[in-house]
Amino acid sequence: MKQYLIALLTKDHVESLIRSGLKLVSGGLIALGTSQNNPHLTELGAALGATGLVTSLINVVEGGQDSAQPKPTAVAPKIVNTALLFLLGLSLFFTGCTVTQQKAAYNTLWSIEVTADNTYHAYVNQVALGNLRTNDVPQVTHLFNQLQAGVLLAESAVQFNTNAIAPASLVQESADFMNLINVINQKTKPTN
Amino acid sequence: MTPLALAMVQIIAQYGIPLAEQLYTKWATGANPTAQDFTDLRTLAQDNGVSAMTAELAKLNIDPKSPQGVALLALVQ
Repeated sequence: MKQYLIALLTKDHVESLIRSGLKLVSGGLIALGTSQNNPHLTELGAALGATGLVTSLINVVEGGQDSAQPKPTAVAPKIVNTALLFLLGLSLFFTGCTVTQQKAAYNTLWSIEVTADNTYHAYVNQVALGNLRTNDVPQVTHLFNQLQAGVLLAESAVQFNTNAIAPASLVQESADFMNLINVINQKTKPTN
Repeated sequence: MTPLALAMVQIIAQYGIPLAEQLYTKWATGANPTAQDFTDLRTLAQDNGVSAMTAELAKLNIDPKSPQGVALLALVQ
């Protein structure tokens, strides 16, 4: 029975479960951190959300492979695991340190921005190579531009308000962006 | 290692390692963010669809004025 269940759990299922878990935990921590005015919780939540974005980034790279060729599964999971562990360890370590609310908010924004930007670059790279279909590009770009505008606005708020915490809505936007890319990856077919 | 696996490792190295490095450098210091830190964040947040596509076209040696480049740039306008 156990073996049967394990056989049913493909890599996609596991990734999907991890993503859902990360989203739930990160959303909960951000909400809790905001309500208790605790920047550490908010920061940890955003870091976990960023970890989800990294998973998306790896998915973009994997999803861009030609389906006619076998997927190199031996390398990718190790890199995914390493990235996840690295970010989780990093977030746990630094949330243990004493930082100001401004620093916590800045770290949150920086994590969101860097991962979203890298994910988008990997996405357009695969589109330019013809590995991902072009139909979804306007939608992804629109969401990316929206997120960028939100980060710009939040950046000003954080810079000039030392008690600022990155708004949860921005984290939600980054989660939406991540979800869209994941959905596109699941239905990807090369255009050529 | 197949050429496909090599290409994948190259792409992950291109995006994954610099990403980890970028995150680490900002997280590593507990000090308050400086004006330069905010400038870095603002610069990154000013990246948009067109600039990202232009940068990727340059990496892939695709001329933005070629028919393929024009078509790809039109998608992110």
